[in-house]
Amino acid sequence: MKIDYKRVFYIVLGAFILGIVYNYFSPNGVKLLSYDHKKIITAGILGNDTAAEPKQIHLKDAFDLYNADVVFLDAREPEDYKLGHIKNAINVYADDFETYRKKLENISHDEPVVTYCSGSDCDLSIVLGTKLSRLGYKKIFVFFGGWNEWEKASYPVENKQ
Amino acid sequence: MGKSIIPGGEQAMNRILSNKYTLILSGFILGGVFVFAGIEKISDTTAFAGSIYNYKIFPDIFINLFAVVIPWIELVCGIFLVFKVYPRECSFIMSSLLVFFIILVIISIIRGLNIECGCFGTAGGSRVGWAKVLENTALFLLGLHIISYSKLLKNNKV
Repeated sequence: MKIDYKRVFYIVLGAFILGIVYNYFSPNGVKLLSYDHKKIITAGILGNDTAAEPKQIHLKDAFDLYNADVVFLDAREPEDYKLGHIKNAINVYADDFETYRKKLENISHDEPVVTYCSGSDCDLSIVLGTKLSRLGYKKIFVFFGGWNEWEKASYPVENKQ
Repeated sequence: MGKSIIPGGEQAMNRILSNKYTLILSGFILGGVFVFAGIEKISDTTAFAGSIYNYKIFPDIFINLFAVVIPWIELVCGIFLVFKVYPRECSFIMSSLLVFFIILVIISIIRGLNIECGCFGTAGGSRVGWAKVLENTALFLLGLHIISYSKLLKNNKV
């Protein structure tokens, strides 16, 4: 069971070099020492849609954005928010936007954000998305299924009572 | 210790494992799986980088580098093994990778991650779970088989 470790090293080194060279010439090549998951996921979901209009998304995309640490904004009333919300979501009640907009101070206009409310039967997420768009936010996603779909999928939540 | 419970069982097992065709079959299966896995990942490096990211264990700075290099190690070793070029060394590299993958999957199961394993790039879409551990263990055993008996293959003793 004697293994020639020198040979092992050369095989790995050869494959390493091949990989780097192929990546350099490939049209789908990536930057070797940098990775921005949030940017890649956001770009993937936005596709060719570069308009600043809010984009409607479904559960899968919402979960991908959540895993990429994108900010989630809960557009529901504070009472509903307190009863349970998507983990780490910030409550920005859409019908009282002026009071809540100071919570957005730390979020730059180039950052992607996801808005949601209870589910497909509410419109607070769309209202909030439109207001954010007017403020100059460029990557707004409206998660249509909202809290109901998220909770049903057993995805991470906070304060669930 | 070391004695088989079936009389002559150990000898028979040894005969099967050292058989030329069994060895060739192990090489074809292990090599083939690695060639397929390598090509699938190379065809979409960004998607594979996303899969690596989802394990949430590697620093961001290394994610693309891993995504670029690992599939080529798989592909080169896979091709070498199929064509019996340095079979022992290639099986050693593949088995080491498999041990690494097995540990990674077990850690992910313990952490409760519900993610795609990314084992075959975007193809298959199998998720991290005990079935994946079993699958990788089976491939690892094929690797061990080749490491242990490939000398016979090379010296044409079989």
